Amino acid sequence: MDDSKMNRFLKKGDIKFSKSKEQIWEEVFSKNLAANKKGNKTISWVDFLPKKRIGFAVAATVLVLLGVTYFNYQNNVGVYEGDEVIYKISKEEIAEIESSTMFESLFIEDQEVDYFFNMYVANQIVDE
Amino acid sequence: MKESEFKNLYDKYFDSIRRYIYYRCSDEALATDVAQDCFLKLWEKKYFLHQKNIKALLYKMATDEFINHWRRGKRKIEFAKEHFEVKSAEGEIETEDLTKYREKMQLILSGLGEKQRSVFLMNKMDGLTISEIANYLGLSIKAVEKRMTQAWKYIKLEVEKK
Repeated sequence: MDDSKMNRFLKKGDIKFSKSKEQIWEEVFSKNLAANKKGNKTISWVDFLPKKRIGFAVAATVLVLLGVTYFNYQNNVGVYEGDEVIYKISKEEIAEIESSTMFESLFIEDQEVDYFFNMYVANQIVDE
Repeated sequence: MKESEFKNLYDKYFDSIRRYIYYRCSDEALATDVAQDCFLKLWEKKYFLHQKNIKALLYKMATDEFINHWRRGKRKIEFAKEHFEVKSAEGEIETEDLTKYREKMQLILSGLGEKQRSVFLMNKMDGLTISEIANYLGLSIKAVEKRMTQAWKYIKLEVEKK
């Protein structure tokens, strides 16, 4: 039994099924298709949207927003009067105050510093 | 989607899908059931609206469906016991030699592994190329070639034995 003989044999060969595709169509598909036609639903582009993915994306966005809000809330510094917080200073505000203080202090003369030191700091040390 | 479009697809591909499953399990009823289920699903879900390679999709669906049937244990598939039927084309005169040859081939084919047999018969009987089979079954060309080589090896070995 050589290869070419086998090839020829298989090429000629056919599988005979007891039911032809036409018979199956008549028995199964014509009925189903007719039933489907009655309740035919029009398909819109919404049907093809990846709903699951969109749902996950929305949930992730909400979580990120909540996280950012909480983080920012935690970073605020409170101004207290007793135990009560009367004002909350954000990080940006603190940075602004610090930079302006540093900038202003550059223009204070040494004599002025000495004067304040003697008036307030030195006296306080002596008092203590 | 129109019924006529679906009918065209059915006419074009039903037999090849049924034959593919038959190559795998040599069970006519199961092959017909699986092919039927695939086309019903195709009609219900209207997959082909967005599918370019519909034939590959059908083969994929058929493979999945076949595996499902197998897993569910609806049918017991025993390859070795069943004779794989390869009937010669209509009108061919039956000679004693041909009958013997056919019996021999049936026995050999039924002994082949289902993966090797399906690839081998898709190539030999349906005339599909290696790349077409690879495309339809979602395999690499190398994998299909390997299955073909294994099938040939087995067949030659069996032929020498008998």
